Amino acid sequence: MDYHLRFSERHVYDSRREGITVPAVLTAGERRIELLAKIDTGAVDCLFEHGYGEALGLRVEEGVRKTYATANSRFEAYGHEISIRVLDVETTATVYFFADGSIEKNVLGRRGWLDRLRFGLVDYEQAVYISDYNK
Amino acid sequence: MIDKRNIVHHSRLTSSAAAGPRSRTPWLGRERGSARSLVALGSRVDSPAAKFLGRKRRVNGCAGSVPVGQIGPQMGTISSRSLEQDWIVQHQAEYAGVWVALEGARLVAQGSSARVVLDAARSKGYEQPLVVHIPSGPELPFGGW
Repeated sequence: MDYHLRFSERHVYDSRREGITVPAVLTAGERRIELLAKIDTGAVDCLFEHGYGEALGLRVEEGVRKTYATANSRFEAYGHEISIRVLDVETTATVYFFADGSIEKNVLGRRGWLDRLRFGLVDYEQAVYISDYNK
Repeated sequence: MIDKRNIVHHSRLTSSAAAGPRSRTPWLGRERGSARSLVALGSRVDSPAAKFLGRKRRVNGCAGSVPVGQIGPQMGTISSRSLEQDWIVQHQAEYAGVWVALEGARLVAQGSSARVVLDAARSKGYEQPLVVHIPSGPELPFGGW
């Protein structure tokens, strides 16, 4: 049996960089910032560097504190409700900013991003396909 | 008369992603020399097939964010930021650990925090630059969480 999915957006990512990297715009109130984030189906939430939260005018440490486990350690992050736009698909969700300002990772994870989309990946062609789930 | 034995499929000639250092198309290396000369020759030939391939290439072959079925970016669509990513690849050792604001291949601001850099870029008229924290060391393979 064949299965068919329909997507509104296609992005060819840069194969020279580690991971599947896409441009994303974060918006909180009147402030917004554009950054590069990696798509990570293994991440429960969307996680961004502490500095991006500050640039959005958020008091990062006043957000919802959450502890995450990794393969060999754990880290803390603070949740804030913001909008994320990737290609032309915008979602609003609680995302998390690392408590530790030295962590240099930005990931688009399941809650707040992947769970709002139809998502396709053809890594052989470095191509990502997405659509708003409700459209 | 064109000798079709030497024609290389257009997708092998134009995929910028495939030409990168992590290419998964090793046959490209062998054909690259002949592909260049064919491209040079092909540019002198005006044929409907060439025009069709050019259109197809713009839709499917270029790195970037292009709504499926449309040619070129739409207003309001986020850029693929491919020029900015080229800049990062070229300058990451030089700017390791620094926050930078980029617009196209241009560095518009740099500093010690995203907020400082974003505000500096906006004061220069760049409303939505790409703001990146250049990794402080070589980007190691990420093993997942």
